[in-house]
Amino acid sequence: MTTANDMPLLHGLPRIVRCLLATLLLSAPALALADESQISEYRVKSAFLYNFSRFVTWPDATLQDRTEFSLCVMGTDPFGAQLDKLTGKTVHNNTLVVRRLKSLAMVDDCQLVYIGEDTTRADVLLLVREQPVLTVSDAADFIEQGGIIQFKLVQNKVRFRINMDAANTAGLRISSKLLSLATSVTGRD
Amino acid sequence: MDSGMQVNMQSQPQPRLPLRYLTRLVYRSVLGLVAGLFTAFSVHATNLDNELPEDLTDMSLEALMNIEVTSASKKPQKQSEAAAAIFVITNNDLRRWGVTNIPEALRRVPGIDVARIDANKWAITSRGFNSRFANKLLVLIDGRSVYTPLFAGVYWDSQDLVLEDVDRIEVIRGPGGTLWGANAVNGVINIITKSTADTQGDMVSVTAGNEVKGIGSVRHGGKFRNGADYRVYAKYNSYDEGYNPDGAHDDWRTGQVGFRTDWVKTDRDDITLQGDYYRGTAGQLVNIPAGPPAPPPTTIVPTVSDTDTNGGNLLFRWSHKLENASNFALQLYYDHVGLDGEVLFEDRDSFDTDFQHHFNWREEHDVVWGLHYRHISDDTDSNATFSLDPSSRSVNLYSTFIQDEVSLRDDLRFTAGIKLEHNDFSGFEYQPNVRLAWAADENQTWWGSVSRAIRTPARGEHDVELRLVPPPPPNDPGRPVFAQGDSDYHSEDLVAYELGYRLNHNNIWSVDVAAFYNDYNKLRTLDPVVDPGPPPVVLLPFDNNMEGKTYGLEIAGQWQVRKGWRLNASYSWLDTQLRLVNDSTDTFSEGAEDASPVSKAAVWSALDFGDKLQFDAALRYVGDITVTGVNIDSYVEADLRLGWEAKPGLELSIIGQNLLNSRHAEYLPDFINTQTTGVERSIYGRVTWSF
Repeated sequence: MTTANDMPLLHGLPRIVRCLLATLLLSAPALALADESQISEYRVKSAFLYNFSRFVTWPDATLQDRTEFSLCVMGTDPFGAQLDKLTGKTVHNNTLVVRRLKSLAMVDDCQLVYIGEDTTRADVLLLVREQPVLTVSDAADFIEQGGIIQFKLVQNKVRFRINMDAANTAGLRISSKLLSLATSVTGRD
Repeated sequence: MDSGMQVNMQSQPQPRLPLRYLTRLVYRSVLGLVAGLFTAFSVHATNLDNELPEDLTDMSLEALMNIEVTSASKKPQKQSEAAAAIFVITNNDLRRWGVTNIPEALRRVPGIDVARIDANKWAITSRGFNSRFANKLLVLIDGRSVYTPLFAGVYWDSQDLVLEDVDRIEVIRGPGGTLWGANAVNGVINIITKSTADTQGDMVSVTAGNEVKGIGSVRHGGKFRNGADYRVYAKYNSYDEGYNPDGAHDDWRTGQVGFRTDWVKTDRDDITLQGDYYRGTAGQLVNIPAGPPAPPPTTIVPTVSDTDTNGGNLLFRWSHKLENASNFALQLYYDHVGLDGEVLFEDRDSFDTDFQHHFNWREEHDVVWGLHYRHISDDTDSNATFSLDPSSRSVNLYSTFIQDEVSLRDDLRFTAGIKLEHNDFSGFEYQPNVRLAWAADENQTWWGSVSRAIRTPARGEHDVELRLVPPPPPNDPGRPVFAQGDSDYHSEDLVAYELGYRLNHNNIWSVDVAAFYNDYNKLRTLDPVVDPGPPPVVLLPFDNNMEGKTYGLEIAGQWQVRKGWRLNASYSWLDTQLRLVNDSTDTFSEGAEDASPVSKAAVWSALDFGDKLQFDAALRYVGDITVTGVNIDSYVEADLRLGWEAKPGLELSIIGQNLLNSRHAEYLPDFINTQTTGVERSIYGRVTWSF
């Protein structure tokens, strides 16, 4: 058995180091402006929120009387400007608007509410219970608390869980497509 | 290092040595490399951005679910990544590296050894044992195996693709037997083409230069009335010959046409049908031993000959989503390979059927299981050099596997699986693996694995009689020498121990390190036996009288220096120790120790000047090797590319490959004695127009 000491591990390296330096020098003048923004988690999640709004059906009465579809954020907003890019899109014939709520008072006027940190989730859930409001959160026990859709990262990919009981109570109908893509669906008959 | 892995390693017969050894390796290499090198790594998706639409809401939910996100949130969360050594070449990499075929694309991948034998033949392997018939690396194109069961290995000249339509090439080093089956011993390469939804519209690409005489691709993508997307393509390649002072005769041409259609039939059903057909002619100068050779030496007749190739395939895949994110997929394909050359003749038809079912069980368990059947029938021709007995044969392969990936904790994932397989040559085989991945924090992952993989006998190892070119005098035995198939030839087996570490620092720089210790048994040997005849001949029946251990380290790194400037590096180190057993009198199988370089490195830069101009540079080092007793020097080569997007959809580029030397040698032939030719400096221009 060869011992580690006589392994030619660094065999050829000095040449490589020289070559490396050459490449670095070669590549030095950079004017680059191309967009290399990373795919942030919440850039993808905001696209999910948009898709949730498309694949969930609200009671006719909820959307008929208004022109706007309100997508609200309660508590800390992890999306930032990414979410505002959804503004103006059409959802169920209404125009999507993004609203960041300062207080619970307006929450039942939202069609979809994302509940961030720094807020008492139970309060929000209690308030919108039996209201046609789609609740979404990243919180680990959100489904158990009575929320409708909970995000979940699996192998760095965005997945979600669905609580059918809560959706039924809210009077929301979730498309079979969304159900089939969910990692788990609770409260289903 | 997490304790779970140590327990696994120590329960093995050679407990402490490999681990201590590897630890020292890691330490030394870190010292050696970090000093001079930046390091980083594209663990999957760091390159993906360029290919995502600006507005993600344009993407389907399914596509969104496939995006790997880099988490920017502060809270600790499940970061779980593959517990295996993976390197992904994206479509963007293929473009920016300026490569013209798959072998060229693999040159920068750590752990993968690419050596050109002549202009149309390559020796490509993972983690050692290189040969034109490198038999421990499995290669799949869209789920279709292109590993040839005749001699084991891949006919790389027949694996052509429109590179613009390749989505990515996933290179997985280390055993993949549990999921992919036999012969995925040292690695698996999955070449995945784009879905037709992503290749709508027309594309024309033309490449021409001194070594690349001409490559032309035309593709049209459209939509059927039922909503299914399709594409059709045609491609023609013509490459110049390599360098040989006496004339190389290894120029080659191929033409290929194909189609693919993807139909999202319902929310739950995706159907893909695709097919390709190719014809080619590849030249070579092959040394034919002529006899009767008494007295020595054997007469060697260098013969200029063309190998004609043709082949085609048709593949159908249906995937169906079930409830709760579970799904199943059924894949059927037919594949034909035709080869007509001075030495090798083969007509082979394969029919393959594969079923996989994937489901979540109690949320923590991600289970996948499957059934597979392949029928292969071949028809071969014999000549004075090569024959198979029987000349025509049908074989069947059955297998089943199950693998469970369980989340033990938020940061800890354990995977266990096994494949059971039956083939007509070696009977039942089993290939288990266990893997553990630990997300130490949101930026770091440690992983380890212990797995067993087997390399099943090739048809040739069972049935061939191949007349070899004997060594030069005085070692020429003075009699014809034949490699001879043996019906008792067994599978080669491997138990592999791997450790890996990945660090991603805010997506600015990242590093991926993989270390392994491989323990092989029953490796192939050729023990000479004199058959007194008449006429007297030396027979070299295939046998399994060699053991081997390999140790290796692979590092890949990436550094996003600033917007529009990325640096990458890869480094591989490999030590192969082979040992004959059972009093074997084999004289050359141990030569495989030196057939792959001890060290190999590459560094490359991708630089944008604004959004119109791109400049790419690469340096590659490959250490020296010894093939059939002949030393081939190490070499350093450079590649450059300048790309200009003249207007949206129209890209002009000029590319130089192997620029540092007017020519260099990379490999020598082994079993089939074709003459090797030098790899020459290559400069070519490329125009790609999408409209």
